[in-house]
Amino acid sequence: MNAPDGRDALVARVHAFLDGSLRGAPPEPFDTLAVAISRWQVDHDPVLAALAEDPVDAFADVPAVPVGLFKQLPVGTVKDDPAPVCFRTSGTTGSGRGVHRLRDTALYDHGAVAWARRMVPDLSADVVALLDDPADAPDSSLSHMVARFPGATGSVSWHVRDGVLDRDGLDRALASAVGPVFVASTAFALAEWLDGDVSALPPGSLVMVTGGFKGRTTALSDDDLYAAAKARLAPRRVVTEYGMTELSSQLWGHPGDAYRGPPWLRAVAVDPASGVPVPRGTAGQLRFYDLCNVDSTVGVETLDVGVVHGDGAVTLHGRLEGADRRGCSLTVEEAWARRPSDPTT
Amino acid sequence: MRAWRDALRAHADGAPTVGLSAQGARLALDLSLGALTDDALARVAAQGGEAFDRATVITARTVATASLEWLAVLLGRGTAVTLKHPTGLPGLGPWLVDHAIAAGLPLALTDDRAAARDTPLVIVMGDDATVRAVRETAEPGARVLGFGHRFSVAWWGADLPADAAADALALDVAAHDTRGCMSPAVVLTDAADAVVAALTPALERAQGRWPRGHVAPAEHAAIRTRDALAAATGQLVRGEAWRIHRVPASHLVPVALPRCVQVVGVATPAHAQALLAPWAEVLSTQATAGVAAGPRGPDLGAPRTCALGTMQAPPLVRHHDGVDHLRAMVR
Repeated sequence: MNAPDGRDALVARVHAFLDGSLRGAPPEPFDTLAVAISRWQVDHDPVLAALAEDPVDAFADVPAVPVGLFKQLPVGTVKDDPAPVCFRTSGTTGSGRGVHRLRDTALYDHGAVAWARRMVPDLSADVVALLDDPADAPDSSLSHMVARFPGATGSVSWHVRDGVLDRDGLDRALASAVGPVFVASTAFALAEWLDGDVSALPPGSLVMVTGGFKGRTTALSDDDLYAAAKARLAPRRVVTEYGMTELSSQLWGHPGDAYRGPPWLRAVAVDPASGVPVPRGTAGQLRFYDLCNVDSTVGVETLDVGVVHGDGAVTLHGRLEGADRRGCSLTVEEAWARRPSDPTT
Repeated sequence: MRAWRDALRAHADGAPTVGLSAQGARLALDLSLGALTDDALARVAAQGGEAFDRATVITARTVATASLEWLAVLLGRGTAVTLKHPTGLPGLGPWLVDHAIAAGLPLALTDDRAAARDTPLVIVMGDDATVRAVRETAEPGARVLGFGHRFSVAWWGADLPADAAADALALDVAAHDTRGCMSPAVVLTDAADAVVAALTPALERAQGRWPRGHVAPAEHAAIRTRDALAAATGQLVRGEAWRIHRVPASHLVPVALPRCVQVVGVATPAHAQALLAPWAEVLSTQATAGVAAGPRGPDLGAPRTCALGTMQAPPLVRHHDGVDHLRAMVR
């Protein structure tokens, strides 16, 4: 259960980077710390060692692990089985569940809450979550994050159980609210909620929407969903969040605007064919480099397409094109459905 | 039928490439048209039973030539056929139809799924959801033959001649850029080192002869994921447009990727059989018959058995995924 030598010092450097960068004065360059963490990860994880084609001497050498690998191998330096903390992807597309293995959530919590409060300074202390209760879904990184939003004085109520929206409980929670609330929801749960009777939220409330409709059926586009939420719930505003189980840090934005990540998260768009970075302002496959991913991997390659703007903000375009260009051969989803065991747990 | 086949052969270089390279498209057509021998067409014509007057063939994002053998059997018995392609993806459809009409054959093209609704015989190729949807909307009493996604496997025993096996397997991999259900999604072997060594130059030769066609961004991402898996757990051999992914049996996922060969070493043929057991229902073809007349491998449970190098060239007269399709297409 002991961490490999050097972890504590790196974690301390990341904490210092978080605090310093939020003040506008990071204690060291991003690249320096990213290289140090990645080099340590390569030294302590044979998976990352195999992926690093060259010694990690510069940021360009930091390997970016494809998210699909989290479904197939225990990625990162946590080799305890089970890992002290396991966040798992939803598996809604039926192709297995990726596992993000951590020793603890101290960095995760510090970074996630600090950036959320920076981007949403009016985030209410009382949270109404259209999400699974982390007591029922301890492997949901989204629920874990939202559970930390109220702080010591606030409250949070959970209104999804086993994937089903608890509409009655939601109505009761909102009826008993004495001030503005922060409604945290996946796009799918929000669409389901808006599909029935809803009332305006308490004045000053906010609505956070995260995720798309991956693997789910709904009649609403993202834009339609935001418009419906504004019209029927009358929040002060709608905010959007982009996060991934395999990352410890998140990006925030507003409908129609680019997402903004914290200073300790860098987005890079690459050519999907070559993996070579494309110029800023050009659409490409998104990779993220997250300094809070000390226990796993700094670099993560997503299956999403987007534009990284000159200031580092990210406009998301959706999933990579061509997942259906498979002819008549078995799909990943079909193969995983018959797979005898999950190798990541 | 022969006139249609001969016209298709004569004009093969003008056929749409449908995402393949020009050489790759020609290879795919040559393999498919190669099954339409005079003898095979004569056997179709002599098949007993009453032909359906009308039929619809639905190709939902399958390989471009998948419909050819069905059309040959149906048109060869006088059935009028409507070929339904995915919306916006006509593939070879217009080319097949134009030459069929010129040959006096009753073949029409549509992208309207409703075409299947008033047809007494429907053949549908696609995922399970597509097959199910077509079954549910077919007219009562209609015969619906559904063919879902499958995968195929090759056995490469230590007793095979390595160079011949490598070139034969490289041909199977190159055809359709490995996207067909008869493409080798995995090679099982008791001689993995020798397989990798022999395949490496063979895949490069195949790339020179039949260059890989377009690969979609999501496919590139999937290839990089498997690159990472192989690098971390086994061996990755990377060509400019092909890969060998040697992975342990515990990480086998039988999904084919464009011009990628997944090599899994097994101790015994029995191990190979046990490994594939969870996927037995979705196996299409097993290349376990050696190379040409070489030594045979174990029965891995697929309905079709063939030699390496012939995986993508099934004979016209055969059982299709276990279905006697000649009998199934007559009353």
